[in-house]
Amino acid sequence: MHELSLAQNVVEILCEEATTHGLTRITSYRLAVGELRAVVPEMLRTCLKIVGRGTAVDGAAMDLQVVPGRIHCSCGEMFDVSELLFLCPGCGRPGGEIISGQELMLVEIEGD
Amino acid sequence: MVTKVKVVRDILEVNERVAAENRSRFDATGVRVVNLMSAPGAGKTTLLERTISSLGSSLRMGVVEGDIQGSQDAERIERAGAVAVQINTDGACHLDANMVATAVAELDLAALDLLVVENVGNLVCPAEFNVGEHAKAMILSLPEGDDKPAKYPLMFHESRVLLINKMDLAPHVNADPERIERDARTINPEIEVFRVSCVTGEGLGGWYDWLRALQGG
Repeated sequence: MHELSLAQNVVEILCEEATTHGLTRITSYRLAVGELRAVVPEMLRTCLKIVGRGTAVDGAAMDLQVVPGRIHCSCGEMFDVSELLFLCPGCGRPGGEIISGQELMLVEIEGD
Repeated sequence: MVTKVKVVRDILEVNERVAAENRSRFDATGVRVVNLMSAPGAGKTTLLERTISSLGSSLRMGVVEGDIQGSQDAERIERAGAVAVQINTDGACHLDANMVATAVAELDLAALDLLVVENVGNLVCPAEFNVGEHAKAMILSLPEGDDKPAKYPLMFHESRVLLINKMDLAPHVNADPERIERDARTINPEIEVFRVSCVTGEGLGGWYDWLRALQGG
């Protein structure tokens, strides 16, 4: 249940951003969440509703964009993570550098 | 008037900031810190009891005990002969940098060589929250099954060490340590794997050597 902790962090950052940009209320925002983070979107949505109550985020619409896990192998091959194991389909070697899929980002807010 | 703003901020930046502060405190006193993670019942506390009784005379050890509730584990650590601070997370499934900062404030870090943060039993969330540690170590006990690296890759990816515990139960459980090791290395080729039993003591020498090496590195 890391969704609750993540939601607390999201609301804290949203409230900071609202102040920075002179917004009294955030009406919508977009999160980018990497596939490798194992976040359950519906659970995060519920947690955000609960944590956001009584703040500038209360009632805001949340758009969640899932970023696929991609690996760059030392052989040069780029591939999507399949079944969460990091085996290169080109050379068969394990590991490689994670290019995407670990994001936990707030990317956009809208408010008035 | 509706305003739209591009922001791009890391959701975990608050935690990362506090983790960096913790790390500075650790480095200022020279204590080395290991974040120990596993599912509930994999043997974290038993491993630490063994480690304290084997290395306690040469390494001054402290333990931060993270549990959802209760203080049984901290009592076990103190009986084994190390300093312990209990954190109750009141429901949270992992420790974060802030909780660890509060706990270490109660410790004399300069009097320790090694501090182990025993995380809340959970194979998912603890891997996401850095607490300022020098290394993450994890335990997977054999009865949990050999499909766990494939199901919970992040923890295997983040850990420098994997202890496959309860090897003494190998004849009785349908789990293949070879597969665990192979899949763990598929996710993280650098991971060090020790097959151990905290009941018989089998294989623990490698873990002790790794801890001693961490002191030098």
